[in-house]
Amino acid sequence: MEHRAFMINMIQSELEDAVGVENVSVRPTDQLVYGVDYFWVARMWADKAQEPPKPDFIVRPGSAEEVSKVLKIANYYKIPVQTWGGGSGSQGSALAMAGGIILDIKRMNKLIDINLEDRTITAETGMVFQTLEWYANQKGYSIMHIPSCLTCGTIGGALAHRGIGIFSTKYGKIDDQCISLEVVLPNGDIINTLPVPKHAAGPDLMQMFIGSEGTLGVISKATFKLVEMPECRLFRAFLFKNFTDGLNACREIVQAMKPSIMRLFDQAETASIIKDVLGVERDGAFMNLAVEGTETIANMEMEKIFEICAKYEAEDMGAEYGEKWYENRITFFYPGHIMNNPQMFGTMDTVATFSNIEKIYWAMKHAVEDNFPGVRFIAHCSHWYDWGTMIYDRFIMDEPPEDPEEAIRLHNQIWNAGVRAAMENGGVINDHHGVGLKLSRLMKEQYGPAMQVLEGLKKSLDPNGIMNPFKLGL
Amino acid sequence: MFTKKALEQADACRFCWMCRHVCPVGQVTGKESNNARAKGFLVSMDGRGAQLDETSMEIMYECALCKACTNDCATGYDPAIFILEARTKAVVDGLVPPNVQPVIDRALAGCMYAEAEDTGLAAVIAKLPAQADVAVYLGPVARRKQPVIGMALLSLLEKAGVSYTALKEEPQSGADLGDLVGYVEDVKKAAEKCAAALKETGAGTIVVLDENDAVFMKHQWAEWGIECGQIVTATSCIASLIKDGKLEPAAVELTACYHDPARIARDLEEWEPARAIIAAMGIELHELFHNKKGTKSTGGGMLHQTSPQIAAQVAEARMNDIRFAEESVVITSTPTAFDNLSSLGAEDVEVKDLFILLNDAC
Repeated sequence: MEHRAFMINMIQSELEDAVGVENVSVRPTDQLVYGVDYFWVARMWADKAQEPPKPDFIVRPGSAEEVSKVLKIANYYKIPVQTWGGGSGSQGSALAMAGGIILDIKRMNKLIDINLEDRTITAETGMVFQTLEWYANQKGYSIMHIPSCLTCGTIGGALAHRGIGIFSTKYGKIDDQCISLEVVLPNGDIINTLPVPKHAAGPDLMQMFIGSEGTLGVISKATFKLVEMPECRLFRAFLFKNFTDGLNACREIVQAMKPSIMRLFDQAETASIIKDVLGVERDGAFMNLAVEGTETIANMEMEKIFEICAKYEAEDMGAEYGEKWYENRITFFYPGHIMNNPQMFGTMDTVATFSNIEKIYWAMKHAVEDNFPGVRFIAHCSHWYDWGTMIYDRFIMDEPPEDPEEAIRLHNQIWNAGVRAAMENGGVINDHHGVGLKLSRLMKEQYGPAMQVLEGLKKSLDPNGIMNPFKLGL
Repeated sequence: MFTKKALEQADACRFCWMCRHVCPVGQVTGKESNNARAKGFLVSMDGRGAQLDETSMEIMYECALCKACTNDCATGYDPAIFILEARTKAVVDGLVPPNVQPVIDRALAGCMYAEAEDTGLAAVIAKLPAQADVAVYLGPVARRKQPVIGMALLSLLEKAGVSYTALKEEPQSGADLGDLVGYVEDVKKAAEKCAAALKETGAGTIVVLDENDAVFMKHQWAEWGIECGQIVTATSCIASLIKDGKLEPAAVELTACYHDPARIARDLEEWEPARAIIAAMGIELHELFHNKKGTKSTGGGMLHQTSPQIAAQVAEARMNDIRFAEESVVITSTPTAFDNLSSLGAEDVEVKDLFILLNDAC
């Protein structure tokens, strides 16, 4: 024990030398604070008075150069490094499951450049995404990355987990919105991806790091596209007789145009969350959407939407519910509205082609509800592509086991059943929350022999395996 | 130790990150502990096997109590409730951090600021009558650090023909002490002493200059049933005098932005009077992006005493908002905000006090 304390102090002083004494902490209070992210298991574990996973050191670098110094130290001593941005991820990706260093990058929050000619904005990745969006807004622009974690997640978190915002159907995911990255590799080298995202200079280096969840390095700087604020945004809500009709109508809409928002809720979610928050007390599948841009084009698009919805005998619910949903889009995630302990819950978002999506929905619903008594399954589709859509499937268990260890096992069994049902029917392990610790074990099933490509990359860049161990299946 | 109400707030906040973006302290320190979620989590874990210790209390004191988090919460939770109770617990359990204890000691002795009262302002006050229709509560920052603002306010009341006075010895309102130790009996006693002194003036209206005092006297005094006339902010009093034609400022050729004091904007939902005063002087006002209820704190009063380095960073962040908006003049309306911003010594942004500006224009 004394020997360990001796060594811990030696390493601590090296880390302090790299980032400043005030930016390294080994205080139990700070270690506790980093013991929980938004992952249900971490929350439940703390709620049940169990000791959360704790880092040995909390290190707060102020620049890519300081990150580089820390990674060199960590590599020498072979200490695990978990990058922590907002800590608001739901997949347990930021948790220090192997101890070691929590690298909190929130001091790296400088706005570097706004280029109105190129319509780009560049910042350090420890900046909370809302702050970046506010900087853009003050100049009359938006990044149009508006996720529910906008106010709590960082730029780095959004990139590390391939995040998505509510306007994705029109403006794309974070990987569509990003232009370039600066990354600190595990060996401490600071590299830049190519200055533009479209080229014929080999595989896309930038996309190798987006979604890497801190396993291949630390994204330290990012440049994004800026979009002019739309002249108008028109909202509308419709009620379909059932989820199937809604899916077909939405497919036709998205293959004809690009609404900025389009959210279709299954009957179970319409009868629960939509009823609670928006006051829609009706049977059927609720859908709200928005089109935007110039007034003329938005009106024309809305006209076409009416035509398609009428074909599926959808009831026009007016603009008000769509506006209300938009106003309350974040309210859904505040205490009192969002699922919370002691409930057990999880979002098994998956993505697939249109030809598979309904099959996946039913397969997941049956896998969860038929095998786990007392578990409800609700879903909505909220991000659409020309070729398919994602499903934001959630399971909820109001009375999970009291015993925390039993609860973890049941939680994982439900996840295994749901995600395997998705993957077996053409779905993908996750759409926009990432993999983290939560789904790490299923990555090999998802990728099969293709996993060796990711493993090869990992071995090459991080031979000591220090970067975010036990996450992403790597 | 914690009340049921405080634990309800903490249990709601412990797994909710939604207000991270508005915490002025968390934004500048980048520490995970500097947000309502972390503080709520620590309080909630206090009953779950991880007791609050002195380092936890350091975290509880790294908060300006600006209520940005409370204002942001879509479901109405108020982290300030458990933060204040944690501070009470720190005092009771002997866990007050070393940087905070001297400030508490000064506050318990009468005022948390170490500076002496300004003799010039004291001399002006000494000439005022013992009784009047209006009593001005200047607050410790005006009396000790920014006396010119206090003198400007008194001068404006004089010019408007108001029957006014101010206390020769002004007891603390309890606002600062309350921030330091929570709203406990000692604080209530301090508030009652202050109210009694104000009552002796016979004033029906109490004009409060600084933000912390104004909110505390309007809200907490009322909650405790402490009565002493109608409490109004200095901005709202002066705006009324202008509206009634008792003050007629000359035009001031100036383009400026205005910083809304956090507590007045958020807790009292009051931001129009200052704008009315600015408009009366014909000043071209450019609104800051974070304004009115969404304003940002400059660090308040207590944080500048307990954690001056963090507080200076918070003030600097607000100054950077002004720079990003490409403004070169900012108008403040409370001595605390003026003191916090002007003490940065920015060469590219001039900080002007609203009452001084108006007094010069009248």
